[in-house]
Amino acid sequence: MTKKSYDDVQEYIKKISNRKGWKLNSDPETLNDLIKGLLDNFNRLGYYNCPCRDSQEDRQLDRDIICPCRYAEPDIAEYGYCYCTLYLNTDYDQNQLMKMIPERRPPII
Amino acid sequence: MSLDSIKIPGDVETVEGTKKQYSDIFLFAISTCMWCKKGKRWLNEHGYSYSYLDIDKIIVEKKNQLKNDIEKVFGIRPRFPFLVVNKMQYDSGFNPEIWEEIIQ
Repeated sequence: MTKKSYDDVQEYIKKISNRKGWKLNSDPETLNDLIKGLLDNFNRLGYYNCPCRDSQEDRQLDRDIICPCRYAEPDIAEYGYCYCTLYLNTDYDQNQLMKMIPERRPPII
Repeated sequence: MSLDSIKIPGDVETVEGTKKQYSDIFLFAISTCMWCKKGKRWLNEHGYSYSYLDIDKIIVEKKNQLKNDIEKVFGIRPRFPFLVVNKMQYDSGFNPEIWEEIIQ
């Protein structure tokens, strides 16, 4: 497996947010934590498991939480941002405090 | 039933705080999770002493067992960070307004 670099992850999430019409979290510390989390996950698991969700270390079982996760779209529509706050609705005003949103994913194990 | 009913697999890390505190604080976290990092930073900034386990550092089978044990003891499927105060009180997720309430 080819290892990804910090820049690779940055490029990947930029591409996704452009394609989906979202924007990225603009808080530098949070964004850095998220990129590092995705980087660690890719280089350990071989895929971009959501940094804030527990992995089964099996691409099939984790397929719905591979970034961008299956729940990002409905979460962004309902709350303005996804579970880990990486992607935001372009209208979302990040000056307000972002809280953890409910987990939409059903329990699998 | 309390945290003591759960066998903690893996190495628990301990952080020494600067504040006098009455609560015993344990945190289950994921090392890549930014909400968990926010939780640890919040505890650090408040000067609390606590112990934590990064559950992504243990093998999957043991981790799943641990999640089942947490659910059995606390009656809730955990998400992370999962805070346990004085072995019995808990909060699933990073909700600083709740943490403030249950930590003394």
